[in-house]
Amino acid sequence: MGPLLVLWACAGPPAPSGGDVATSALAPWPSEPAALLDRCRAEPIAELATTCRVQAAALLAGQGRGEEAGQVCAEVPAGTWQEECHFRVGEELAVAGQAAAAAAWCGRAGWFARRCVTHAAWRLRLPPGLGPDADGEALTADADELLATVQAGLAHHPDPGVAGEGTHAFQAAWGRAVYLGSGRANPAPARAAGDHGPALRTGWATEAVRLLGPTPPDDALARLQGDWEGQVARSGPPDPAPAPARYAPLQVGPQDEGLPHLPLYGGGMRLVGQDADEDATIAIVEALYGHPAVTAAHLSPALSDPRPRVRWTAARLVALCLHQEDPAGAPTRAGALAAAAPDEVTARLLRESRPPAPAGR
Amino acid sequence: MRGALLLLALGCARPPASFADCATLRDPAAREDCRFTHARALLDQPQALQAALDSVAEPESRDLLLLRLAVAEPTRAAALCHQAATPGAQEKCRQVLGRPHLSTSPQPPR
Repeated sequence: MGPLLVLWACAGPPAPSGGDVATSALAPWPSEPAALLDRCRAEPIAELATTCRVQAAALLAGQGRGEEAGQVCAEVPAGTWQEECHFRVGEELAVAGQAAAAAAWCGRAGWFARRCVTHAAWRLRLPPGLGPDADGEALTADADELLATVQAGLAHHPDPGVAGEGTHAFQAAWGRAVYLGSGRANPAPARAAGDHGPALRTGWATEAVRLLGPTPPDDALARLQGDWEGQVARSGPPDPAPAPARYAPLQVGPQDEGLPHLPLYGGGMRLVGQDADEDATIAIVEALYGHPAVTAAHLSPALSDPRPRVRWTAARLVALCLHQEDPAGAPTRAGALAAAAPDEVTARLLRESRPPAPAGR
Repeated sequence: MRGALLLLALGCARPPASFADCATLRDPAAREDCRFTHARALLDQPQALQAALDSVAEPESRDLLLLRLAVAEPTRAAALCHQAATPGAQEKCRQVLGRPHLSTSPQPPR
């Protein structure tokens, strides 16, 4: 009698469908932060309540409401998803123009902090009025203040490398943001700057290359070096959202040891020159590679530059171009250039041809 | 009779012992939670997990299960979310899959 009763009571009639619970859980979320947060707080499924809050925090941060976003992240259980929440807040605050707060939230993103600070840095927006024609002192003051707050925001991260790497990324991104899309490749700020010079020179060169248009002239390198030396401000149509360029992959060799580098958009790094003129040439060569229509022929003149860092930069990028232009013929063409190279490092870099990185981040 | 009633109480209070037993729960939310709990325990047994997933008839319930597992174990999200069939689950899966760092393991400080 007993077992039969249990069977009857527990099995009962067929269980109702679970479709309603699941359908409700999988329904689209509101795109307005307050409505989304209401939804998150009513969500009975813990995993969805978590990701819902992360999304709500990101939306709030995108509106510059960092403090409220942080409060939402505090409702997320500690661990991976709370760190992801801080990561999203850091990224979105950077887009909203709150770089210092962005860095501080990245500093709370656990082991995601390095990625967070890189994402946040390259999403940096400058205050209105700062650009390539701004007063040099104003630019320097803005960069100094930005980097000090970034450093402070990251200083308490348990990985001591995060603060240095993050500050460096923000400095590089700041220099790019000064110029990119402005329609003004005015070399003056990049010539005058001290510590921020390499970042500004990359920004200047990137915008100058963009202003070359869709088909760079064969002597593009010489023209841009002429702009630098003659302090010519190249102008053209501004573009608030420049198209993604071509990115060189991070490629570090023995020749790089002990030499200063600057992070580049896309994850790579470039050598920093021994003086502003050398550094400007390196920045031009790197920026030219970023133009999708630039070929090995555009960059090859730099292979015979008297300055080793310029040659090494050119060799690495020429090798990439050769591979992109003709993978089968690249070793032969690279070998011919290497045979004429003025030093062994340049020759080796030319022979180390590899497939270029895809565009986009 | 008292013994039978005690047995009845014990029998109903005992949580389902397997993924398949979750189907006997009448409360849909409890049934979803039960499936999630048992499926999560099967994450290191791919064939058993797949069999469990395949046994869920309702596409929404199956996708909700996949999504919950992906959120709970983001390092396995790609394999799980890849199976999601409903637009709602696919859209919510993007919140995990669109963040590649979530599928990686912590690295020591450099």
